[in-house]
Amino acid sequence: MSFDLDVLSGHWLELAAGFGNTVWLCAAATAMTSMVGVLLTVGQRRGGPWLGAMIRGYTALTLGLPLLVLLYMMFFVLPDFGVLLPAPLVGTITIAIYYGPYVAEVIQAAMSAVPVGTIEAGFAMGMSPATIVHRIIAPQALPILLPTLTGLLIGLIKDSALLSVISIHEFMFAAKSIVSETYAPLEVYFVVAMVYWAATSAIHFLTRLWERRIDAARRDNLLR
Amino acid sequence: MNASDGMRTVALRAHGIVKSFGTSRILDGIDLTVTRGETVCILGPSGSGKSTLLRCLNWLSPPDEGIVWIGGQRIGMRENPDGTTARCSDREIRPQRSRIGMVFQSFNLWPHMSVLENVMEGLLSVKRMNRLAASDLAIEALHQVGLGGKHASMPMNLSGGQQQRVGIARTLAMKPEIILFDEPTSALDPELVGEVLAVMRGLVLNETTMIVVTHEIGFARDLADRIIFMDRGKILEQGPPEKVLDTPTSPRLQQFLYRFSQGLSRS
Repeated sequence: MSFDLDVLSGHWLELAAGFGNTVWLCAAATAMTSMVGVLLTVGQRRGGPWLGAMIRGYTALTLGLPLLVLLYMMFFVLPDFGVLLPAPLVGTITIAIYYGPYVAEVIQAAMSAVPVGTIEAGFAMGMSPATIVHRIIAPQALPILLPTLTGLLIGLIKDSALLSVISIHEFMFAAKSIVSETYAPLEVYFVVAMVYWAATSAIHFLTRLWERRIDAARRDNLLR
Repeated sequence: MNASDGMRTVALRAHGIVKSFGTSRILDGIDLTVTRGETVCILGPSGSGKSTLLRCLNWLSPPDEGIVWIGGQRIGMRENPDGTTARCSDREIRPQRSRIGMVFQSFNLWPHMSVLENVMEGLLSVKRMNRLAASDLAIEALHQVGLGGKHASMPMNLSGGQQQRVGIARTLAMKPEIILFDEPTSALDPELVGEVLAVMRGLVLNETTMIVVTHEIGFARDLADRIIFMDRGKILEQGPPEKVLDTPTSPRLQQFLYRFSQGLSRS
């Protein structure tokens, strides 16, 4: 068995295009997931008992389902009900539906880690709710939030490879089609694995950097 | 510091305060008038509604019934020209709250801010001062509580007594018309109580208007202009410290003071 990256020579562009698609699919999915996560959090906190119960039911359901099952249901079952959406949209929506509750749980956990008394002190002083979120809740919740959210983002990127099964032309889909042409799974999947690893490691590294900057900003504040 | 001095103006007045949680009536018709410069200490067994009363006064927990005025202005409710009343919006309540200071049992400092930032925050985000003016006022307030040298520390690196003094400085810097103390020394180790009481003693001598919910009977005896004894949501007795502490008339206050002296002799 030989290892020769030259078998990929005519296919680099195809791979790159696939990766490009993965990037924007993940970006769109992340934006939608964040929106779902925030909406679920607000609904849970501010909505009435009915909305709260519905959100809890939805969360329990999605947390107990494999993403692949959800993806198949959205892609193959929805058309039976006359809902025919383009595959990339179905894919990103499914990811948002699947990851949204996780994001909501993480936000809730971080917010409940903020001592109620520190919020009350803000209200007693006459601060507005927006000021309290910005000056008291966010700075305390963000350091708790950041590592967990990064973990979710990395999970989302890795799971985006599943979108290839509903024929979305992303990175994994491109890899599979190149393998079927070149019969070189070793080289192709080696490259694919390295790219996924590099991308997720880069995100991990950038978050670390950001965390360090938050810490540094705090120290600067002290010296001022 | 004579509360009966006719020249004194009213700092805070509350009338007919009622507050229930579920079916239990925590406050059952409280009337209270505090004149400017007066120190009122509220004593009472736990669960008697003392803390709830403070939280009703600054509308953190709006009372079900009753009226609160601060310096003549009604809090939380707007009186329309046609005689009807309406709840104030949050935007209207905020400036009213900023006129009332509050010091908490558990300090409630903001752990992500330095001592100086804790004291400056309200000046910046509520009073909209510039950083320079705010830091001047904050430093002054920190000196007043004897922590001028600690402005760069983070709260978690301070002792409980120092944290509570920062909490007091944070309130003082806002220059409130009255300060509500909610058991300010109850969360402290016994050896740290003294430094906080010393700061509060200074405030009393400065004629700061304050309502102090406390279990420190010695402090109340020495420094209160008036002691109020609360039990089961009602004011049972009030008057000058000597009268309330030495010649209690109600059996419940007698019992409370007796238990207290027993507790002291045991420790």
